[in-house]
Amino acid sequence: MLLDQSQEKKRHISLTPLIDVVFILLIFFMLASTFVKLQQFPLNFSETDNEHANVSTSDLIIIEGNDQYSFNGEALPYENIQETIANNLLKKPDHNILVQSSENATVQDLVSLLERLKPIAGTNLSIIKGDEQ
Amino acid sequence: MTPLKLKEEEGKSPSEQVLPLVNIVFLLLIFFMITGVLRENQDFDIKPPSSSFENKAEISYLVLMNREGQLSLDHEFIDRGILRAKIDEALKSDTNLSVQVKADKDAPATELVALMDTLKKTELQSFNLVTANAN
Repeated sequence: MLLDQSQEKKRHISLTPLIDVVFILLIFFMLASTFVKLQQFPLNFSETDNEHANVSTSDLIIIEGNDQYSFNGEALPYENIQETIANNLLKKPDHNILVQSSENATVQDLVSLLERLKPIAGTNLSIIKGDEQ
Repeated sequence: MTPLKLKEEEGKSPSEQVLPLVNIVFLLLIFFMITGVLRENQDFDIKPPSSSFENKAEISYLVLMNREGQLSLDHEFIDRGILRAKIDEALKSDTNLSVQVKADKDAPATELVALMDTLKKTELQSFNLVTANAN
């Protein structure tokens, strides 16, 4: 039995269903993927060691919220934080820097402050709870 | 009225003409598959605070905190007491347990400090706060 070979050769697979599926996959991956790179910020518990937070050998930074900070009761502009704390640590190297959050402070405020203070204050930095001062 | 006919390229069938399109779609698909990370289905939408730390986050034991300061672990809302018990239990089977806290950037900082205080009461020495790359 002879098949009609000339007809067989002309028949080809339609690309349309393949394109449909690829488009659907493309849309799925576009919607489901995220490009935000997550980092991690290590916090040791010595930094929340309230027992060693002695008021006479400590300086207190209060995060007031809305980019407002105060240092030992005086308003501290955000741009001057590093400079002020670095100068303070030069004068009083054994002092602890206590960070306290007020009710209006957000996690972003705390992270921004810690990010600025960690390189200069290092182990002198402690995070304390609001009701402990 | 005669239907508008696009000028067909000489010697190419219509299916051959869409091949460049298919190629580009394939390239886009491969790009998104390789570079994108599939978003985890989380209990609530959390936007982590931005920072410029370079440590890449490795998630193993993730505690979530939403804007209101509510905590969630394994798709369940929990309070700090239960979290402490769960972490103590997990520490028994894995002493090198590393805990990550993913808090919303607008969550109250006081809630995060209270959570830190709870974690400190466990046997953990430290934990990692998950942040998003600011750059």
